[in-house]
Amino acid sequence: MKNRLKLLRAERDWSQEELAKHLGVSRQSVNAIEVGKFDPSLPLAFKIARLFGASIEVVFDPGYPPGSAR
Amino acid sequence: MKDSLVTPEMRQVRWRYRWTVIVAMSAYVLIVAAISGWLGGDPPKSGWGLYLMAIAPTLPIAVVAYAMARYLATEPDEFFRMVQVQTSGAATGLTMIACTAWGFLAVYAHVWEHHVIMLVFPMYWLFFGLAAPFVLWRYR
Repeated sequence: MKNRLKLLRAERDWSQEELAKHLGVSRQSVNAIEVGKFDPSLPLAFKIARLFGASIEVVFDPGYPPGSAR
Repeated sequence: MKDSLVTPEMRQVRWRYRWTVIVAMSAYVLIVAAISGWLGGDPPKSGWGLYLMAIAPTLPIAVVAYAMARYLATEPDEFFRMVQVQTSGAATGLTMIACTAWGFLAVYAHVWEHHVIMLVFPMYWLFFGLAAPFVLWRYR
């Protein structure tokens, strides 16, 4: 799934490791999410969105518009 | 997977898994050494004692299988957990393929007929070790 995690992280000048520390996950997790190869669970997605003070839709893009089930 | 960030929860779960495996595999080696007669003594030659003795190494293997299942269910890092589950799936698949090939070779080509199925467990871990870097590599 596409996401703006790398951009949001860069805005705060955080390394992947620093973001991982904030989230309580491994750095590899952050990297895998950033490159779109791993979709986080709903609780982790909420945690990421809350950390950046945004909604999940702002951070993650499922690739289809609201109201559409793909 | 080496990581600079390991939370206390991750550390506890991984520590419990590692030590359970170390203790169980040490017990496995001791049991195999005992029933093979390497430690001396006079093992039973027939009857229930023989059967029980022969399957005794299965107990630590069951402990390791349980430890693995518990670990996969409790690993706090969901990405790492997924990598481990995928690696386990790959190892299981490769083990089934190898055992099926081995079985047909034994029946139809009379190759390795006298090797025994107790090698399945080490074979699984061999494939687990081989598959792990490839699974991880996919997420780079």
